[in-house]
Amino acid sequence: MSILVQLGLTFLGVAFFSIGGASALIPEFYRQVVAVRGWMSDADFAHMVALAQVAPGPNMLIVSLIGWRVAGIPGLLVSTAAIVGPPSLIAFGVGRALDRLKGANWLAAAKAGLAPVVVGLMMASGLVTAQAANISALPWLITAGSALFMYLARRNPLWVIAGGAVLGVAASRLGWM
Amino acid sequence: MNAESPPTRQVGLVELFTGFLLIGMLGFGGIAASAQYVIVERNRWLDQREFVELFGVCSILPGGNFLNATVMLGDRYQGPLGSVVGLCALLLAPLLILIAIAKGYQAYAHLPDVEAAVAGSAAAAAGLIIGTSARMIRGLERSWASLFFGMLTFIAIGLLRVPLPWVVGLIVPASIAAALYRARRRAAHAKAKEGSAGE
Repeated sequence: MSILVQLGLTFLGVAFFSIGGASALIPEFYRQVVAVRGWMSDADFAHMVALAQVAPGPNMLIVSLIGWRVAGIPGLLVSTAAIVGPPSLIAFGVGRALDRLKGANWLAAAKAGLAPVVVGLMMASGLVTAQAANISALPWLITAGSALFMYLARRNPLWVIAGGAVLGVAASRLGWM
Repeated sequence: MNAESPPTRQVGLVELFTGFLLIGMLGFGGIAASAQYVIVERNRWLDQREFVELFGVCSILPGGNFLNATVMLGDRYQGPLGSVVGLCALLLAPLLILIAIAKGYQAYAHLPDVEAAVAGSAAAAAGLIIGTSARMIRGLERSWASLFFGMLTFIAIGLLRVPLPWVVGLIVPASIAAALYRARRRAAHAKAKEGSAGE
């Protein structure tokens, strides 16, 4: 099976279960791309996560980056289309049916039911990314520091990532990492 | 707001294209802010309330929040073509920038400083996600159900590495059913209180 078909099928598969957005899907992306398919290493995957955060636009573009890494521009296009396609069709249908679906209780209950699951998914994403990225003790300090900073002070995520980059370079130069 | 009720003004394909292009270009660190700016303040496609409602509905659907919102918004003004134009415009600049970043990374990844910087960034990105989700805990409904389903999800996905379809197929319906049940109970309690208060 051509690599493009594999890419397409992999991300189509995830697309139908893609609740909570890209940040919640990282464990599944990891599972498919690294564990099941072996398309890249742990470290490479973690680096993709960081690069995708730095780039503007929806975080779902991590999929585009993975596709590019696996199969160049065609790979990028196939993965992006695969992850965006099914949910877009669903959103299109729901958007048109919104009047008929207008049950205020339904929406509130769905949100209340999904919220803890999405939070659980995101926490898991953070853990999976950290485990893939951090091969020694020091990076875990960076992870912990970033988590604390983000929890306490609500700043643009780019500052956190930039800080991590600077600390990474400093630590590496000092021989700590 | 939906695609059937007539929008308050006409928005052409060109305006859709440039609007979403701008959202994509300004979306460093996340598009929530640039979306708010372009849709509500600059182009006035929706007012604040409609914007929040749209995001609310999109948040329960599969797929990226804002990607779904783009589809719905594009459809509202220019039908399916509007949805396609919106999506393409939104993703165009980010994809180009992403490719540039990726190529730059590939070219310089062998340098020790770059390696260290990216490793540090990845560690920070992980912390970012953890910190953001920790903040979201504050916004959760304070119930045993929330705690239970949240922890169950975290353990299943983060520790046991269960495939996602299991979680979505089993935990999500259970959690929503529990939420519906709680909502019905609250409504029944409220009615009972009203009844006894009137006596």
